[in-house]
Amino acid sequence: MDNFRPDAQLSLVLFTLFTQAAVGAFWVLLVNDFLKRRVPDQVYDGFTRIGTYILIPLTALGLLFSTTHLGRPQYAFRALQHIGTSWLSREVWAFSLFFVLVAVYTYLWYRRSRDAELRRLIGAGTGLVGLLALWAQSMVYQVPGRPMWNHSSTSLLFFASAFLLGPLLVAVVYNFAWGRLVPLDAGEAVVRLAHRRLGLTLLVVDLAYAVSLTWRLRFLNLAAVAAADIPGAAGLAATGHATHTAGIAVGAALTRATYGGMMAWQIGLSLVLPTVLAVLLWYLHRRGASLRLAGATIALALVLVAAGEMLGRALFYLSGSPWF
Amino acid sequence: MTMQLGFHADMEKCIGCKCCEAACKDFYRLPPDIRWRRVRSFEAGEFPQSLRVHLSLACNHCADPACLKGCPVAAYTKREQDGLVIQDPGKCIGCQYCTWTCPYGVPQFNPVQGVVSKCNGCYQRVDQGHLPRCVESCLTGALSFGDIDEFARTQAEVHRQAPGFPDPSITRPSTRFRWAEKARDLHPDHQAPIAPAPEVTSHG
Repeated sequence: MDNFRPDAQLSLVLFTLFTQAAVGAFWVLLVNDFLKRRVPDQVYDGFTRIGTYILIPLTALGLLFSTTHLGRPQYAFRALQHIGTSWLSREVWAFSLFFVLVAVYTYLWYRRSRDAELRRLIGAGTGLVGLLALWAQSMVYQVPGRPMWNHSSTSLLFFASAFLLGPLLVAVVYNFAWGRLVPLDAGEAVVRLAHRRLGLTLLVVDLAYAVSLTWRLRFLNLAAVAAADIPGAAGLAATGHATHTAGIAVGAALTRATYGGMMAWQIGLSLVLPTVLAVLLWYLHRRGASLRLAGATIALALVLVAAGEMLGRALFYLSGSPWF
Repeated sequence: MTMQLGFHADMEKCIGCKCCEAACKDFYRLPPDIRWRRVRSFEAGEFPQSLRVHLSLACNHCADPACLKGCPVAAYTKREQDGLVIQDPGKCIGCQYCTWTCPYGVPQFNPVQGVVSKCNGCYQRVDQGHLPRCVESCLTGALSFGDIDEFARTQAEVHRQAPGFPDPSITRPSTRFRWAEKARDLHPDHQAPIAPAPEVTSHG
């Protein structure tokens, strides 16, 4: 446990979660932008425009936390040098480009709807770059040197996190804006619609999250079982290809035994809670409960899901212990 | 095909004295926690026939170095003339990605200097016709250094694998091994159940 704090990689936990949340939130707003392409709606678009204001701070914070784990953060820009073979370099390029494009997209919203088509075109490109950035980010961890991460479930888990946090964040912004930046009467229908869509989105994303987490745990556990049959201290003194299995088994032991409590919290907060929220939102709206109460529930859920994601991501880093 | 320099570790001759570690640390004035060469000790067999074998490892100067490919600042180079993988701490930004990508735990981060460093195969000494310090200091002649194609002629035994040594097919390391005779007697198939002794295999 001596290495818990450095190995949990708090800086990288925040970097990955902030940037993933930014991409997820961007896609929610981009879809909202395109949904009103044919029939512009001033109130609906007003919410979308307000929503975009969180994108620059989110991405900027993410990029900031990408430098705080560096030994020499003043030279962070050098990380752009090796795009040819380094996934880390590609990740930095992709998120830097995403940040610039997000700034342009937000600016075009700020200028209202005069350049709507140009804005949507840039938005589509930004969304694509965001997805590529998420993919590059997940590929950083898929290296043979860390066999416990070297699995496609890592990519799916990162994408699931993005589309879990993003919609929740946008919903909280909509709730905040309603009555403050958008008149109560005019905005009620949009907020109600946003809640309904949030519930459906959470159900779909939660399914992907469940698949990715189950896939990862199965991958770890199968190796742990196989490692038990490798000669020599549960495979730790294996040779050749069996060393991969032994390495994954180390990750399994850390995930299940050493930090099993964190896994339980991740399942509870990031997997069970969003589905509970989706059902609760449906129930509250069906009962005609106040939108404020539903909004407060979403805000509380965001805090809890963010905590679950932080624990889950820290566990991901902790499970990537050196295998030799 | 160009020459590839590498180390040969004779586990039969190695007595685990760690002179190689000390010589390297002394020559390069490394901080206490940084060891460019590390001797890992393993226990084999069962009491009363148990024995202890030692594995001395530094950088493996791989044919396909994962550190070089992953480094975002291109701080790593592989020399064309002899295949040594050189890391330049001056270029390093301390992202520590190479400490993840290297399966052998070779690059090490120094939090005081904020950079990673590793064994560069004493390339300055090699260029002057000398052996690496670790090889020069070995009391029993367990460590050798040279063209890895020559090891078949100069060494008693040349293996690419060793107990616990991560799969050589990942990065094709240049280090070669001779297994300890006693370990082979106990486990003739080389898939030997040799368990690492926990107190000496932790990462410092």
